[in-house]
Amino acid sequence: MKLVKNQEGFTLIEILLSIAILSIIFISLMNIFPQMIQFNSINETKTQAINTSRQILNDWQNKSEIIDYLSAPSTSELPSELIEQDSHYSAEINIDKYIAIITIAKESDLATSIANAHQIHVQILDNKGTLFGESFGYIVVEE
Amino acid sequence: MYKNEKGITLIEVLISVAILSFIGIVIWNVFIQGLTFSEQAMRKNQMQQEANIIVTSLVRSHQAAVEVYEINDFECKIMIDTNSQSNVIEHPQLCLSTNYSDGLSVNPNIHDITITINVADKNNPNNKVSIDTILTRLKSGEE
Repeated sequence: MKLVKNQEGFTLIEILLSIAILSIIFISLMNIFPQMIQFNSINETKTQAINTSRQILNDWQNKSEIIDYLSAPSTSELPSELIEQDSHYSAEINIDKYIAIITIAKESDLATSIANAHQIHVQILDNKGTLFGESFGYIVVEE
Repeated sequence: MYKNEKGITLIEVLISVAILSFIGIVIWNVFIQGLTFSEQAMRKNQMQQEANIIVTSLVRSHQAAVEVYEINDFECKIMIDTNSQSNVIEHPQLCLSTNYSDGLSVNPNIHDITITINVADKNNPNNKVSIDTILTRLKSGEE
């Protein structure tokens, strides 16, 4: 009947130690599970960013100094918030932790002489450059 | 067959039960917390989608409106009221409201509306989502 010869077993200390080590390993594995909360917060940021980009778009579509400038770019002075680039004007504004980048095309997309429509593009990025939301529209400038 | 028939004392049994139950309680708590978190995360996801639906239907009814309409919220429901009909948005588990608690009269041909949609869990009001958005459309000629 003496199949198992060593019957010393474990001491309490050994058991407790092994539980402690195991729980450390489990706690580090547990970090995988709350990812749903992380995804939710990204989703919330995206939903808000899309809506914010629409607000900014509407805001900039109605800015009179920009409409005035686009109607006569050669004679009037560039509005201070715009930076001139090759094919477009751009601007950057900070909203909390996020950056909104606004680009306005120099060329009109309309081929009529009654009005010009300059495409405006609003992007919401975080400080790492990840895009969260964007919105497109036109600034209509009547001749 | 067994030579050692000393067994274990009552004290030893009590101590082992105490240790076991302590470990059991800790594990049980972790389990229950996990359930609560996943429930909350699910609700949050649902609330984000609900907020998105509300924003979409507000935008749609703003763009389709032919006359002045009202946005009201009352007892966790949001209502879009025109002269002829009332569109009620509600959810059995969620409390829906806007930042205009006294109601808001909108003339879609004149006003752009900046509005905040709040969605909260009826059972746990701390779990909530708010989305800021803007209702706009092309204004039809003369104001």
